[in-house]
Amino acid sequence: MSSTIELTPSRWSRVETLFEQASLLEGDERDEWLAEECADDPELRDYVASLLVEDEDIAENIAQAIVDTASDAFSETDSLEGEHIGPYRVERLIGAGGMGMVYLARRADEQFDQQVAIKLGKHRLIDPQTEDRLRNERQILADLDHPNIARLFDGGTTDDGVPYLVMEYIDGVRIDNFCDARRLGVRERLDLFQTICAAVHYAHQNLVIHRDIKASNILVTADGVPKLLDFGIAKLTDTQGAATDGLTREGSVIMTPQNAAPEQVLGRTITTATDTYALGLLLYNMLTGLRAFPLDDLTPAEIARVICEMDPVRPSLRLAQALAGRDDDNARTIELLGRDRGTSTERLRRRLRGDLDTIVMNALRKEPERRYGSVEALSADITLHRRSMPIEARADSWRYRTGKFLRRHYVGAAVSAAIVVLLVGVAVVLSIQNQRITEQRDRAQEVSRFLEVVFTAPDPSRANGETITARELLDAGALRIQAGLGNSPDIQAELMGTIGRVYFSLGVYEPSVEMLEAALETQLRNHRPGHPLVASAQNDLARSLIRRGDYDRARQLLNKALATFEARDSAAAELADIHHNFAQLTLQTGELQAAEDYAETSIGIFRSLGTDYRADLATLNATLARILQVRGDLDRTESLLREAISLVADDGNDAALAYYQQNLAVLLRSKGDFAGAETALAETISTARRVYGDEHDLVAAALMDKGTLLHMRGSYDEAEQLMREALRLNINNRGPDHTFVAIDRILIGMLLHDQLKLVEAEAMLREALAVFEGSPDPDNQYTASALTELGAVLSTNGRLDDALGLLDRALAIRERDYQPGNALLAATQTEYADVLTQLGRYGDAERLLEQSVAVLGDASGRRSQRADAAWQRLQRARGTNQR
Amino acid sequence: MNADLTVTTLLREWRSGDAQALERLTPLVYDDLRRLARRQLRSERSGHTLQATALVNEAFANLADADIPFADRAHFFALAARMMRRILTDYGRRRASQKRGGGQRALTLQEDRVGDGKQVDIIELDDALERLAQLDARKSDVLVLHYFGGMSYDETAQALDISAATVDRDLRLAKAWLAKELKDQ
Repeated sequence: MSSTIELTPSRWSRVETLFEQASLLEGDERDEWLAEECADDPELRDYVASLLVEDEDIAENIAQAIVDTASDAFSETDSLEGEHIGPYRVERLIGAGGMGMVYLARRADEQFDQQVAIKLGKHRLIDPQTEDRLRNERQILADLDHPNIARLFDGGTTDDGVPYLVMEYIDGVRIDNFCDARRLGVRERLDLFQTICAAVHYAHQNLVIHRDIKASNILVTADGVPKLLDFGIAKLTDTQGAATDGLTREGSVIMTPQNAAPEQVLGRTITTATDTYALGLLLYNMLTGLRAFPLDDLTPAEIARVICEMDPVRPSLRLAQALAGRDDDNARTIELLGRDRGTSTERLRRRLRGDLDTIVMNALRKEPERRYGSVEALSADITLHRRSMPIEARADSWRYRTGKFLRRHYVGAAVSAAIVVLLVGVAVVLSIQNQRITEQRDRAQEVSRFLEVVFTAPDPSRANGETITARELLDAGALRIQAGLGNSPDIQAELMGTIGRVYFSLGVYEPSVEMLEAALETQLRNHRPGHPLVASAQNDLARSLIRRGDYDRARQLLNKALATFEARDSAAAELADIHHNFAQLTLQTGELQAAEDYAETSIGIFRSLGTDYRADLATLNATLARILQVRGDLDRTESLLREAISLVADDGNDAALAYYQQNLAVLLRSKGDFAGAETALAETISTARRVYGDEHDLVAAALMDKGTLLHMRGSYDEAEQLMREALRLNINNRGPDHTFVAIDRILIGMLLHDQLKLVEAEAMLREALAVFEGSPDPDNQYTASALTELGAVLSTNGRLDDALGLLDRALAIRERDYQPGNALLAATQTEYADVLTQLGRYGDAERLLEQSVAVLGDASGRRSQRADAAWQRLQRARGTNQR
Repeated sequence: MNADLTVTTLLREWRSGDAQALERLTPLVYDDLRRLARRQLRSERSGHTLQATALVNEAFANLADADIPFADRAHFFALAARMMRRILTDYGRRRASQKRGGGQRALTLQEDRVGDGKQVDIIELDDALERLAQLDARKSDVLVLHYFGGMSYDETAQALDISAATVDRDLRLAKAWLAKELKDQ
């Protein structure tokens, strides 16, 4: 029965299951069961059966072999200590790495009394790769002569045939430890870093790529001179540039996975950009004391995914997150990040924000070709930054499209991770709420089992390998919760509530309401009406109902929840949340005074609860700002928005920050503060690019808004650049025939008109017109806008009859829907009248212009300027005519 | 080597994501394991009673601070166990190569040691563990921690971040696999 079979991963996993279950059985019963299970694969049956034969002897012999070897091994002195390798006498072991042991040795011939480091290969002939690599290293390194690169003196093979290298012994400290021990500030750290850059650049010029730059390969001597060690895996770029040393090849792991660049993980061509990436990781760590990627406890496959798909959190934000997540356990560690750099962690964060973030992130781009063109360029940018000159790197450049897929992918992953976190959170909440230990354990187990089912069970309706979206995962979870878990109503209700809230945060309100209704029903079956669990469920449901427009029901539920929590002590956070929902509700129903009061109450409570609720406070500020904006109190709106912005900026919550900045821009614009609006939009654009990527809708919207402001103040060229970029993004995101895209085209058409690029303007506007005319209701107001602007362009171009035809149609559409006094109607009247003037029909022109100037006259902006100009043209024409 | 970097500090660095701390930790632990082993052998002249696992324990008591957290402790044992495997296997290979040509592999057990079972060679053991690692890296690691570190289920579970139940399952199958593998050699 000593069968040996080929064990594929799938077969092995079957072996695991069969072995586990069969060991519960005995004798014939086991044999029969196995035969049945393995009917399709008798070979597998024999194999599992052979595993099930217990053999105590072997186990004991293994233990004995270890004991014996240990006795022998330790009773001998290390065969190398005191031995000679070439002319060197080994003194002691000083290190051990993937490549083999490193010994401190001394030249024995007294010719030079010099200590050297000898790196000895691990095996003799077992690993020819290593031998080749060491020989390779020897050739390359012998040629490198640089004060910051450890010299190679010698090399060869021992009598046993083990390859070795003799290298300059550096009596130094790892660069990161060196910096921390001396509490070097950012400036000194950059000094050291740039010195290393120079050494790496020197190697690159000699066609050597290091491939494994990391802190442990850089020692700093007592004099403060950094030395780069270990070109162990470097290869000559011209001969073997495309080598693909894998991370995963067992037994010859040469890369430290944590430090691998994406191209190394993917087995793609290694170039000098690989070293740039490694230097980026090093700089990240030197500046923040944190790793660019938190890879602890991940499997190699997960590490590879993270390296290839996840953008690292930029250094300053990473520090902000650390500061935000501070608690008793880690407060000291976080404080040390700053102290080791001769400052406070908060000041360090501010120091890194901006240029240094951008520089590090540019070195860490996934695509090698998008990183700095050379290590020298990286160093040069640091120099520019230090001289307070503008750096070359941009925070992800405009034309960046390649990463789009990865970026989207990453967002998807983040959403599902958030769900898992939420669901696991439920298990914790339950554990806290439940007093009885055993029950607690049972519940935790039940929840874990449930989560396992939701996240692992295959769905027969799906083809294998298809990706499951977060939404589908949720839907599956929702179904399973309703179907199962009936005998654990508390857990069922909690999970329903969680999923309902997640649906809400994803913006899908129908299923959210459905789940939250079910959660409330379940809670009511098990608890009295005034129970806090019931009240929480009522509050959650109300929040979703408001979004769905079911205001009466929402109000009822909120009142009940309010009564419950008002009767209890220490329910301040719940009360604040209920008041927030009341504020949202009354804002929707137009009870603005009530909305304002509710929001104020909620803000007051959150404020009293301290800094833990800053995120809630920011949200509420934004809500109250919206209420006051509707009420017309623009000054208070502005101050609330600014406070919200500062709250989320302090928290490093850039996702919210971008939206608040945009809200502020819109507000400032409506207040007539165009300069302020422009600044706010610039901030929106840079924040949104950072958080959401260059291609995001918010970026497009803000670019377009900024473009129109620039248009208004006459910066036509810059305006055109921004607006065309916005157009491109909108086309990418929504397709060429989307209403928003067509609106963008109208705005650009107007700009081109003012630039007197009449041919381009006409083409742009005709494309917009085609989209609107193609809609189910072709005579809509957008069509009228396109017609108006196109008519205006043709009028400027002297094609008056064509213009008149278009404007005729536009005017008919406007007059159908709008009363006199409407600004859009007035704009069309202006253009129409202007054509009439040019055709000599002054009386008709004057009648129309009187109306439009009355509407637009006192306002500022393009419409009123055009009305003004048309009026003057009419007066001039009349004057000439009369003369 | 920087003397003020204690084992405890290095362990913490290693645990907090600095894989390179391991490289600096290795010689420290290695030296201590050897020193302790020699002392033990001197005091117990009978020889062959030296327990690798006991050594690991003693090295730990020797090197690490008393108040080291359980998680770090488990990681230390895991580290020492893997290192013990490395030390013993390297030694075995060296001996084997010294005796090459002598017609027999070094370090198989003396014939009279144990009953009927197949004798186990440390190099065969290492090779088998390596093959298992190709198939199922975690199970191989569980075996290493078990045999070379004498680690309990809880310690193994902590060091590998799996449950004790998984350790138990892994160990039973891995032992069976290893027994079969060594028998079939």
